[in-house]
Amino acid sequence: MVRPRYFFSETFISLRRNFFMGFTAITTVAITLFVVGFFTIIVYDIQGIISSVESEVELAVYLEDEISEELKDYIEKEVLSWEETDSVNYVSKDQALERFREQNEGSDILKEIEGNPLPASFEITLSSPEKIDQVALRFYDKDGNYIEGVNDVIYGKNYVNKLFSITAIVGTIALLIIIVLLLAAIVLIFNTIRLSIYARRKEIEVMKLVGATNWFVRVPFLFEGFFEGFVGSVISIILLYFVGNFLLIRGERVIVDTMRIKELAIVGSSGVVLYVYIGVAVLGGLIGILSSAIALRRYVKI
Amino acid sequence: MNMIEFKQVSKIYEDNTVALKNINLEIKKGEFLFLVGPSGSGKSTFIKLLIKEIEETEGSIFIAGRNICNLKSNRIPQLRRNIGCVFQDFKLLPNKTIFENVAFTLEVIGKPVYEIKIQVPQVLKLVGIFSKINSYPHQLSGGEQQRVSIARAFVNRPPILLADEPTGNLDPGTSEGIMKILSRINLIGTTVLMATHDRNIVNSMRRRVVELEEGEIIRDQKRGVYGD
Ligand SMILES: Nc1ncnc2c1ncn2[C@@H]1O[C@H](COP(=O)(O)OP(=O)(O)OP(=O)(O)O)[C@@H](O)[C@H]1O
Ligand SMILES: [Mg+2]
Repeated sequence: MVRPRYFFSETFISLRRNFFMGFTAITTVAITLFVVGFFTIIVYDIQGIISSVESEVELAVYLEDEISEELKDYIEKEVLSWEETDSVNYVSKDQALERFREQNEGSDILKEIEGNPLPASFEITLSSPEKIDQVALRFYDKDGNYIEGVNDVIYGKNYVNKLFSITAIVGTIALLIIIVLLLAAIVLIFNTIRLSIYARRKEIEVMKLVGATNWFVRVPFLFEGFFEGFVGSVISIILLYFVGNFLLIRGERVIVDTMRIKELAIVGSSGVVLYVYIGVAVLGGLIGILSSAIALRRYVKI
Repeated sequence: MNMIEFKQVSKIYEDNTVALKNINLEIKKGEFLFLVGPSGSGKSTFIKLLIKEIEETEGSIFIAGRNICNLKSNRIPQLRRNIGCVFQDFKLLPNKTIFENVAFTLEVIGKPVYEIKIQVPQVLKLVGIFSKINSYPHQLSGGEQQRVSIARAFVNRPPILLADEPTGNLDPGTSEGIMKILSRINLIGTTVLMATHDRNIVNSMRRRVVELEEGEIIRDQKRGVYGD
């Protein structure tokens, strides 16, 4: 005996008449899932930023002005043969000056420059940035001086090392926080729905006393739980969308500008936002219906 | 044929209150029976056992020849659909209108909507509460709620009707009206069991009277009176 018409109208009548309870459940779902979703997006974005910083780690090897063409070629070939090397870019003295001019256009510094004081250099990017220390060491001889033809080796040593350890720690902590937030959200939603069913346990008892089967009592409550969870998650997705678009992107622009990162994973670029939306929607409906089901087990006993 | 039969039934509540002691009773199909006795004598307990709202501690209860004591839990709804019950505390659904409260008994057995729309107003007219069809229980007086409770118990024409003090909140005039309804229900073959304190009603009806005292049957009288 399936009666969809009865169950649907029953669900919506019940939602209307128990407005406050339903409203509380929907708000709880919306707020808790918003917090979880928001945090997840932020974490992924921060990781995106960090990895785009990581990928920019490069080593600048400045050459002596008097370096011979053969030595220069030899060094370039040598560096290219290393497996850690991703690319090598030779910047001649002229190119270096050109670049300097571009970067300091309009500045008084340019007037004070006589001749070309800038050295030529190799700009080396690594395929495995965490090996930067080892690679840098190869430009020193065993006494700790630079090898022949090399004047200076520059990379943000401390900065880079810190970045790597931070990435790992932040990743783990963020994952833990997301899990805790998620658990808190589930418990909170479950409790809210459980309370709303508890408040109606007498009603359930009466329905059963006049001959309703367990399923007949249960189905409208399950629909209600699903509806509350789903509507709540849709609201949180809308919130995430607006907050994501206006707040996060603006915030990230500031980071981009201050940190001078060229390619940045801005919100959405990692595709995680879509997954968060889908996750929130599925989670909302699922928590809603499961909470109702679990709570009903307690109160719909014969 | 016995519609209801109690065999050595006892009920002891969790707090060791002995509510019923070794009850033996047979009620025939189509009979009208008053269950009388002072407050706390076990009348409501008797009725609750019949719809399995509570479990007996000892003995067996038969309804239409079937032992309901070891009924599987998924058979209980079926049992309850065959027993209309007017509860002492009405037990109306607070979030449903009077129409929906009465209709619920019919929804549960899968009656089609058009039948529900005919039968519910009919039965509400019968108990004289039709004008409140769209009100909620809390908007009704005690006596009015009681009549809704009677309407709900009777709307699907069950073979057994249990009424726990159905005139408890009513003035003598309205009580008389309710008794007329119960008599009419009984006349069409329904077995009616009514727990009551109402001396006048019992004395005027002259039906079978079973008197309880401290959980025991102390009197079982055909065409009886309330007692002294
Ligand atoms: N749930 C319960 N737990 C413990 N004792 C109970 C419970 N329900 C009833 N009793 C006790 O069982 C006895 C019989 O109660 P019951 O409700 O059957 O009396 P009654 O005859 O219907 O009384 P009244 O005329 O006041 O309605 C009383 O002593 C009562 O206190
Ligand atoms: Mg009673």
